[in-house]
Amino acid sequence: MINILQIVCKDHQNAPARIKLIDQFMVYLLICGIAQFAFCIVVGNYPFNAFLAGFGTVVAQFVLLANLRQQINPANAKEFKQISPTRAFSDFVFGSLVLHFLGYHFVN
Amino acid sequence: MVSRLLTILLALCASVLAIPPPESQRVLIVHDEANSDLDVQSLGADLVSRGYNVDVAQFTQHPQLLHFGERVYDNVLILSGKLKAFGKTLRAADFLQHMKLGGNLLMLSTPKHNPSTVREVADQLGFTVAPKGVEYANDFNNDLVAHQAYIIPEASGDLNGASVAKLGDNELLLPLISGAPTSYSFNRMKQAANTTVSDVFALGEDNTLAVGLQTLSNSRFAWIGSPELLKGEIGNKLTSWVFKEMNNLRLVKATHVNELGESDVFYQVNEPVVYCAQVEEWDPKDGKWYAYLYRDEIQLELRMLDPYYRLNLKRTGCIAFNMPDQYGMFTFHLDYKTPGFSFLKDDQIVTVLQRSNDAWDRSWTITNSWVYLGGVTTSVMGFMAFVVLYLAAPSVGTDGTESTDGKVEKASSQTKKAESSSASTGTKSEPKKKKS
Amino acid sequence: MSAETTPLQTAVLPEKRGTKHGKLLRVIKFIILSSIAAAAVSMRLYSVLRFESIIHEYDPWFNFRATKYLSEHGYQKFLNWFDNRSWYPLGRVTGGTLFPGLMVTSNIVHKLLLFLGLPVDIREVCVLFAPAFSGLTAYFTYLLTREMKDDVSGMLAALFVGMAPGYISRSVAGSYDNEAISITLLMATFYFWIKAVKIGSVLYASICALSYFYMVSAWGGYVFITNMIPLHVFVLLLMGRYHARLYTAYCTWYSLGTLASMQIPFVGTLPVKGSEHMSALGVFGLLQIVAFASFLKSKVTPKQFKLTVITSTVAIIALSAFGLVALTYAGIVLPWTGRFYSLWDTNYAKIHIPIIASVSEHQPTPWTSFFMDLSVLTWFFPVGVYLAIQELRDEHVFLIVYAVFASYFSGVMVRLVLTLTPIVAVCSAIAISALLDVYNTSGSEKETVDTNTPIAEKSDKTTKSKAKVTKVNDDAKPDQVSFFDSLGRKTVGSTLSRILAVSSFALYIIMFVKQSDYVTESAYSSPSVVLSSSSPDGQTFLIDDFREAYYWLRMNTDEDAKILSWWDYGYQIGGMADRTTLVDNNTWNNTHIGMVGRIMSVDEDRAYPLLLQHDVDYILIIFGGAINFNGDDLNKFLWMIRISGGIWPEEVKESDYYTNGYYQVGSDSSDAMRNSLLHKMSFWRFQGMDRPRRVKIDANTVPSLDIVEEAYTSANWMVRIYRVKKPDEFGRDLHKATAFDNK
Repeated sequence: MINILQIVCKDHQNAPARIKLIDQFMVYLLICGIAQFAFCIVVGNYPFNAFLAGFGTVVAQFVLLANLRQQINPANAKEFKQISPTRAFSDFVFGSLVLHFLGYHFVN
Repeated sequence: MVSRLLTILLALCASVLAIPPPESQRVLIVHDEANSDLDVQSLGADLVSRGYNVDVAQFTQHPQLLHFGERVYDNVLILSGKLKAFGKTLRAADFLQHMKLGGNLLMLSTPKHNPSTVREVADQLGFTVAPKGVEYANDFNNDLVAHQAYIIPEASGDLNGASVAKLGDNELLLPLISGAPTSYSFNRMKQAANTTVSDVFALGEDNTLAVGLQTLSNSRFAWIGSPELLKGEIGNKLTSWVFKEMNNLRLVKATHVNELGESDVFYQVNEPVVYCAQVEEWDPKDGKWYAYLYRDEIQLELRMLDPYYRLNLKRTGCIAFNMPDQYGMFTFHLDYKTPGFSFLKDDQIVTVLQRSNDAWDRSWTITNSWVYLGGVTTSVMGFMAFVVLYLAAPSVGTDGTESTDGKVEKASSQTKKAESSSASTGTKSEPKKKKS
Repeated sequence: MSAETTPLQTAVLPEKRGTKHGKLLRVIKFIILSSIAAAAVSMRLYSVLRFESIIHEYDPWFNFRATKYLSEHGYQKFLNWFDNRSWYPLGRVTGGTLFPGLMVTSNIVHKLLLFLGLPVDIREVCVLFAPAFSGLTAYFTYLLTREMKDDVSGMLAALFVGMAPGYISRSVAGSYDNEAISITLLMATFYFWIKAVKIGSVLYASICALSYFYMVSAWGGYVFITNMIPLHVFVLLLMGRYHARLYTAYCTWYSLGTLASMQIPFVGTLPVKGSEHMSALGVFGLLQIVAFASFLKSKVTPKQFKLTVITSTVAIIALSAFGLVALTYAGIVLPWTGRFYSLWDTNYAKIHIPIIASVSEHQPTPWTSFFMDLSVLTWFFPVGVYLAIQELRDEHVFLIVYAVFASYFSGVMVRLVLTLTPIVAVCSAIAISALLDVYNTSGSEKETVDTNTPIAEKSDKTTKSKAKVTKVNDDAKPDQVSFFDSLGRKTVGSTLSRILAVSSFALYIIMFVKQSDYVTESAYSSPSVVLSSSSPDGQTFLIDDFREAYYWLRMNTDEDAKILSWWDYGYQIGGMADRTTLVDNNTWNNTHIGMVGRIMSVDEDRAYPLLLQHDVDYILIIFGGAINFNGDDLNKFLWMIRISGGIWPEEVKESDYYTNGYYQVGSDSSDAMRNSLLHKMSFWRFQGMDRPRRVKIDANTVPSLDIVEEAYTSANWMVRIYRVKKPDEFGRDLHKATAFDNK
């Protein structure tokens, strides 16, 4: 386990600035998500839709970031031939905007 | 021809004892001359003095109860005579139709005058009139039993020789007067010596001497086994009940309103509602309708298939309560059935709506959800900050180092060639996931 | 384009050539596609031509009513619509229990038309809605198939899906049902999904999620997608085909799609609670693990990696399986619904939920209906699947998974043939175009010119597609190495054999079109509200009893009258007669339906208090005895008995209604049958031959009918309406009262 952590940290340190930024945002989201989940378990899931919206938004944002991270990573360029980093980013923004709309709508 | 006792007589009666309700003023008395023990003329005069318009007719004149399907009289008094059947205008069906249309009917038959039409009507209403010749007898006293405190509170008198009836299981039947426990009835014409128990028509209180019935639409009916019962206090009570002078209630209107006082709306679940029933009773002394005094006896049922609430109205005739926490079509069901009084029935179907989707608490009013609201907001904020920072940061170059945007396309196409063989290595994703 | 062309790019090759030739191609393609769409639409108009512009069947009547409500009251009210005219006295929270996609779409279309200055009635929009969308379906099928193979197969698929009777059956004009729109959305969602997997684009995955959301809003069958896509991903994972694009496509789709689908009130939190949705969640989790694992793989030694992966995988799978079972038992995750069970065990429904089994479209599919609905495509379908297996790119895996599942489910339930039809069209198109490739590779330009002469409208199209075949393969580049292209290279030399083969395929396609045309006209264009029948001398006449009776109800009964009928007719009574009904085709409350069955099954004395309790004013029954109409209430009677018997076993026993083990009506039937209210009402006053059941009925069969009185009987006796009598004024029981009145 520690081994894995080390690998992850090393990878992060070696990464370029944008990927670092992504990583930081992902960590931030992870903490948000865990906090909400913990809160839900401790306090109860009364406004269940709000919980789902909050948690779902964080998870989806996380996933979108993970996608972006993969797509702009030159190591993966072979996988995403039709997707330039610029396009990846604009896709990401599109997906996120859809997500935020849904999130706010659902949280009511 | 029908002999008409002019309504002028009404004016002559300065001291009016009672006033019939306006919709119950036309009376028809049908008799024949065989009715020697009853003075039809004085009976008619008495009724006129009480404010009725009275027509008197003989059976042979074939008076019509119905004219083109309309009821001609409000109240009909049949004093049976020697005719076995009353003829084609006075069949059992005509009497029933008369009552269906809201008319009242009082029938008299005796052991001697026992027409089949009366027995037929009785059969339809669920009681049996004793066959011809069967007489009431009580050898010990003149006691009688009065059953309906609201109609005839007490009765006594020598009714030996009257006709009797036995009641069936029709729930609407009201035994008004029945014989004392020591009474019996049998056919006196048969030889007394041969009389056995099996010849007895009925014993004790089973001998009903006066039978009442109120139909579901509040037409009133009575049968009596002796002309004596039309005389004196009992006769007075009897006719005033049958002719709806007494115990005559009406439901003027029943209303229900919500908190804002609006009626005829869809209710929401749990919404407060006020239900009011305006019930009045006819006061024959004043000749007016007055508010019914015992409104708190009236029960309101709120039902959807099954009753949800059963509530007695307040003295004001109203009741306030909250709709149940259940959507559906509910019925305000008022069904007041006190024996001897007019039945009150009213059903009003209302729709109770489910809580509408914008009636729930918004999430910002629920403290719990602030956390989640915050979760969404922070991720949106984070996203915005991220976008700004991302655009500010240098883009990712070929070899993992930073380069400018312009070079990216070329660079990545070079990588493609370089790494074309390996399968799916180098895929990076969410490296932080395992931390938790 | 890079030198190493992958097969996916071959599809777009011809278009990308900006030459004059390419432009011409595009024009021809456009013409072909639009004429296919036009043919698909016009084929569905038979019902309008032969009958009239009328809403069909049962469910569409409700959709129509809901649409009218929406257009009159606006969306906010529609969302909170409480229908107090159905399911009396329970009512129905309609806004929260329907899929609003269909109504909202048709309202938008209606508004749009009005905006454009076309004053059409909302009814016309509804009637023509399904044909219009079938045109779109053809287009999306074209796109989807093009992703699988090439333009030619795409166009063939568009033709097939546009004309396959299996799809037409649910989308003729007037068949205003959820399926009308959702098959289009199904194809669209799958298209975007394939696109997303191929490119790994978040954009396409987001669009896929949105189109999935649209689908969720339109049809309960969205669960099919919810399980298809994870299954596709799962199979790919098993085949060791994980790649980052898959992660991108799936995770984006799932996280956005799930959030979106929960916005539909009827679906609510089901996507995180219902068992049907658990596979999607599971695959989502699995992908995270796999993605992380493959990330690690690139960073550590293989040996280390193997160990970590194996131990963690086993642990995680065990943990999640246990967790799911535990949650299901704890009641947090809802167990599978009955309808879903019945998909696996065809007898399940018959035993446990007769109400589901009683619906004819939930019956297992007879073999003949496959041939009727798919005609020649039935044979090409397996060929297409085989070719897909040969090719086996990611999208072909999807094709195969879809084919296998849809085949199974369509065998279980008749109505699911609908979901099978598109895949059959796609596979057949691939098969035929692949086979044509073999014979047609070096076809000349001359052939193209010849076939441009229009012969007949439909065969014209087929030849045009054939012409297309020629051209595309003309352009085929020699360096393409996929299986499909290799087929194209094995050309057969002789011109004669080529012409023979091609023309035989053309013949097949013409046959298919003719067959579809015939089936559509004869079997699927009847609105079932109006029936057509032919007299012995061959003349066709229309039986319009339903509308006659509904109109009678509308004109002669109180506006708030409550009509009791078997649930099949609930929507129609609500829609056409505008009267309150007790039960309707939205079968959400088994007990209430059982109550109607019970009233029909018991004798008069037991039925009467129930009728009063439910404030029933009229009873409407369907009786086909006089004109040999088989779908009448007496033939549905066993279901009524079964459903109510399941709820009141002491009162209604199925065995009591049999005579020596047989279902028998008439004078010789069992006491329970003869005294049942439905039996009495059906045969009341009827004398002669009861033709559907071949029993002679005489006056003694039903000697008396006391608690109800006949109010109306339609011209052909098909619809009989009875008025429930009020309790007797004088407190008599109704037998006595009726006997006296009849004297």
